[in-house]
Amino acid sequence: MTGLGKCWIRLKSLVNRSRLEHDLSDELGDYIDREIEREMAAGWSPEEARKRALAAFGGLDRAKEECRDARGVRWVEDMIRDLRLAFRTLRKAPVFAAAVVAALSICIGFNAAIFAVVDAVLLRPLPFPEQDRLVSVTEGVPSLGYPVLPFSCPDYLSVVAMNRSFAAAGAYRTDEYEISGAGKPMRVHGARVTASLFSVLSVPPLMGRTFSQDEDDHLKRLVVLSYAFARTSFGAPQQALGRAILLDRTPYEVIGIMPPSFSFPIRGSRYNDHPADVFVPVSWSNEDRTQTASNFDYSVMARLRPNVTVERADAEVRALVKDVAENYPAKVKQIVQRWPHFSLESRAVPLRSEFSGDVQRPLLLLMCAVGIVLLIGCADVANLMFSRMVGRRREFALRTALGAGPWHLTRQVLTEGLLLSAIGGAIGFTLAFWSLPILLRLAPDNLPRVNEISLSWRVMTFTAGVALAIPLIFCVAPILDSLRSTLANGMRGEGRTSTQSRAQRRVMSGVLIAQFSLAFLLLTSAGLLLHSFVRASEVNPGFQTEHVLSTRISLPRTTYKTPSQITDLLHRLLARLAVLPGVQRVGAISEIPTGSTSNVVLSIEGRGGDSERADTLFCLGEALDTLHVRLLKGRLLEPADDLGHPPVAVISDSLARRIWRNETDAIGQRVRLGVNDSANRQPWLTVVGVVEDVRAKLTSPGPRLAIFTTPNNWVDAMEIVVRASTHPHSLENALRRAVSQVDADLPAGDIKTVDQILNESLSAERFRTWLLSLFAATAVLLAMLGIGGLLAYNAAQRMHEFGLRVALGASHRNLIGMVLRDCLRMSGTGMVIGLGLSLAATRVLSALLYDTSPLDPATFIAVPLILTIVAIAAALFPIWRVIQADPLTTLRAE
Amino acid sequence: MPSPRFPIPQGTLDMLILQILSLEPAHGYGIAQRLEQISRSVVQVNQGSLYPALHRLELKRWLRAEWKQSETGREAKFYALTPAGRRQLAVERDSWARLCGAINLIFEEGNQ
Repeated sequence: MTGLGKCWIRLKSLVNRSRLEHDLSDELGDYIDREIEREMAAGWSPEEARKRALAAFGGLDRAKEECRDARGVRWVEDMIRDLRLAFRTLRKAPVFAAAVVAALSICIGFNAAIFAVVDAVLLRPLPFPEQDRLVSVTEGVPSLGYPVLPFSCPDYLSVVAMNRSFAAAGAYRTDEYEISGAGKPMRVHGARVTASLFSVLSVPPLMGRTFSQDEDDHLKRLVVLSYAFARTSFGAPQQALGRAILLDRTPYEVIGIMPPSFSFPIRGSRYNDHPADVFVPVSWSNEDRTQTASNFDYSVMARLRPNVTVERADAEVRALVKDVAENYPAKVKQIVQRWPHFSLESRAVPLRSEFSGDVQRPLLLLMCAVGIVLLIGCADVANLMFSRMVGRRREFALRTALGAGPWHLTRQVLTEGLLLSAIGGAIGFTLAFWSLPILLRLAPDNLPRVNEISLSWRVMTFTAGVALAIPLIFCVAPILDSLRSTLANGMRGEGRTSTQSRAQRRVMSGVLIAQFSLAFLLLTSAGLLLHSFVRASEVNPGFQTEHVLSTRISLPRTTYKTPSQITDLLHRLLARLAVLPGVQRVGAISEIPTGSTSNVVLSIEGRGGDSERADTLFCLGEALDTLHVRLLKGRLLEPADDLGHPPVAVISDSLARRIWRNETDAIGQRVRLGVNDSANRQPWLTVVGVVEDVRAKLTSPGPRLAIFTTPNNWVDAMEIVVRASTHPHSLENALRRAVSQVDADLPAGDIKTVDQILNESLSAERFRTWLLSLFAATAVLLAMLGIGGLLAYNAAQRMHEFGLRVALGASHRNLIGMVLRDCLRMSGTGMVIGLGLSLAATRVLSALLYDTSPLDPATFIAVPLILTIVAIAAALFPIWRVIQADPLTTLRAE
Repeated sequence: MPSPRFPIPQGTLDMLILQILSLEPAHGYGIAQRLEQISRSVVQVNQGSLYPALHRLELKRWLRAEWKQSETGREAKFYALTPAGRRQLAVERDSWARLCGAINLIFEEGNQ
């Protein structure tokens, strides 16, 4: 008979309970009747016969019980009975129940929310078939500060042709496109992909097809759409197939729609990471195919051949790329060898680590933090249960005397714990459900797979598991302990309150000390992150950010073919903007100085082949003035310089120092972009001004080496910056109108203030800091409840003693002193241990801290102070209770 | 007056029930009577342990139960052996025989 079969019978028994009971009564009744008959036949009277029959049977009810037992129904009935009893008992102690449920729901809720994020980002496999066979392949030129780069077109083609580890490889690059022709023009994110990329990802299109290599080679204009984009633009995705859309004013035919779950490229990769709405063939031109050692733009993904390991693929691609560099055409080699310590590296890593690497550490940190909050909450629950068990000592003793075994009592109390935990878990899950959208809205932009974060089944299972484990771990100890002492002490009359043993009190204090040390650790971590965040936001970016509005204008090459067309349009736009009311200055710059720019080689006149590298920023109009970049020497770029005659540039202070030290004045010197050889057609730029340093990212360690000059033919998108005299947002509509006036088909990008842009650049740090601070605050609150509860309980235990003391002449002050001493002893020990933990553990945080030492003194002074205040505040309630209680009443009631 | 009873262990009771029922189906009272009869009043079963045993054996599917008219005219719950029960009986008889043989050997050994 299998276990399953037995279960089935048991379940049936449960369901048919009443009928089975009748059966049993009938059966045994029948037996009794026969016995009675026999006794009567032997001469006994009916009543005597009945008595004898029943006596011979030896306990009708017990027999029934044993039959029921044999049917195995008992444990289910017992469980139901336990649940009912638990419910009744908890209803009689509402404060206790409410406290436990509150603590548990907060802890479990937090855990569920954070686990949802960690699960989607770090644990769940990618939504591509056999995703652990996918690798990301990169190139790199470490000596120039770029250890990891996307591939250049010719390098990619060489690697694909020569390698033996990949079953398929594909390249892609993200781009923004202007969609026009139907309604308002808008910008979408797209990706130029090789035809092979779809076979690497192995996700077939929902409708239609993807393009082939042949079509790509023939530069056909075909496009595959994402499901969401097809739906929003065409109503129903089916409508989109076969239609034409204008990308950058060129018609493309829609040949396929991807399924709704498909999201590529994956957010969070270092390069090319924005999910695309349109996929077009990469369409490399002949010129593209000759761009060796430059235009490292194409991210590469490959699927490994079966039986090939990532390590083998990595080794192979390393060797291949070295070969490729060796075999560069002679001209390229000449240029490349000028770069200090040039060497082309490569590596292949599992795709997953490509985009989760950056966020792995902070997410794990958050998971640990939330786990610590859970521990503190559970410690509260454990202590609460402890104190409650002591109060129920009498009840347990009574029940033991009436025949309940220890297992019986344990099971019943465990049921109470499970009931509380289940309710707490359900409430916590609901809390997580409500708070998850808020959490995601605050999440940083580079959080990968954000669209996959939800309260999935896995999260539910995890939450349920935690909710079940808590009572099993944290309630068993108090129960067993109190049972042991129950059996030892029996029902000895002890007056109204039972006292605890020394050991019990030590355990409860120990739990509290642990709570305080963990809270100390969390508070310190949060304090350090907060400090770091404040430092980062106060960093001077090198230019003024208030009241400056900015929007990105991209000019499609199909309409604007020459640099002069571009500058012409921009000048017209700037002229319109300059006369608007409320506008102080306008200008155009290729990128906000803290954004990503191109890093190029800079040749210096008179230095021969020696070159520097600098970040280039192209300006038109009064861009530098608009941004209030501070001038140190010489002059800023002016509108007159836009014509490019004579060609001039302004450089940043650190670049000037680097090139010319303090020996020569940078003003008047000449530099040019590109290496210093005869093929370089770039004009020599005269340095006319030196400005204060700007920073690349607020949290980067050093300033940018920047050069500002007028655009050449490399630029087809610029940020329009407008300084407003009052509220920049009031100029938004006017800005949009001006743009459509100069070109009706040109969309203006998102209009934001530069302040907003800078704030967003700190979104990851802000997210971490906020969350960790929230957890730390919760931890402190829970610890405060813990110590308050414990002190109140201890004081209640000692009421008898206090009563005696007062009768013997102690003043209230003495009593308060005793409670306070208790409080400070426990919290102090906790803080000392917490200090030790923090000193050891905060080193882990140092990677996330900006301009803050992991042993920051301010934090380490503030935290003990805060916790001491919290502990004393928590002690106020017990003290108040002690003062209120009249000692004589206490004594008399004993 | 109740006769002196031999306390029989639970496992043995199960085996005896199976044996009694292997001859023909019977109800609980009938089984108890039979046991007493056949063993010449040596084995007297405590009714309080008979019924739990019957239910246990039914749970293990070695017995099958149905309500039938009994010889007195009223309805009674009759138990019968199932094929699995028959197999189990054979197994138990075999083990019992071996146990008895072994104990006998030990006693004989002691007598020599």
